[in-house]
Amino acid sequence: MRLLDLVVAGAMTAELTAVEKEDVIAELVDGLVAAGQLSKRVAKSVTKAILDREALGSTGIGGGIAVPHAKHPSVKNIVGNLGRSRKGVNFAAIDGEPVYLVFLLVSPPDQPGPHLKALERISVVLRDENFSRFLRRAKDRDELVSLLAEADETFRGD
Amino acid sequence: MTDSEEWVEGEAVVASALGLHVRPARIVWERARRFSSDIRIRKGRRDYDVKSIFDIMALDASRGTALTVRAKGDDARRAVAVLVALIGTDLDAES
Repeated sequence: MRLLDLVVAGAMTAELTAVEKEDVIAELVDGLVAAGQLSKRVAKSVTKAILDREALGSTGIGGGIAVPHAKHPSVKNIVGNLGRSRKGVNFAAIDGEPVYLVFLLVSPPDQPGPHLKALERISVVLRDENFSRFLRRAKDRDELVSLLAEADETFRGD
Repeated sequence: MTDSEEWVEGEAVVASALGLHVRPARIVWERARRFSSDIRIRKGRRDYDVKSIFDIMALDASRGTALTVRAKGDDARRAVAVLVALIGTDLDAES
């Protein structure tokens, strides 16, 4: 699984405008709708599912990263989005720090494999402090895309 | 000499229904942090740091995956025992 297959380049944003966690999630879901990955009809339901999951425990896993996610029957394959916030968002992260990179994942209900694989791909890249830093400081969406492409080349599977 | 110079190891089999995704990874991470020992999980040829939640998720450990928990330090034996048991529990079954 390559990050650029998982995360829809056309949906990504290097300039998240929302400042609250709930609004950031809605903004990323809207990005998927705009990119034709989700129908507008299900946007609210998907956003709610992600917020419900978030209420069980923050997906702000430290290092300025969050991975909000949910299963939803409207998707046949896992679909993702990436947003960068310049100012940082309070995600109630485990390290108490603001979140600057938000990877949003929506999975079909009965496919734990791809979901786990997606977490693996994201985690392998973000363990690398250089990549993490470069992503966070990307100039624009093109640079985010380039960095993910480079990560896909650099971090192949085992 | 004390235990703390040697690696203590134990075998664990992932029991969480959906593997070590964010929730179980966080539970394991939170528990591991309370030990002073250096704690790793070995999968294949690689070691992953259990005190890094990114490392735990980088394992791509689905249900049934066999892992070796390794620890070195004053509380290594307890750390291995506790974490082997935790990984071998279905953490997705908790509500």
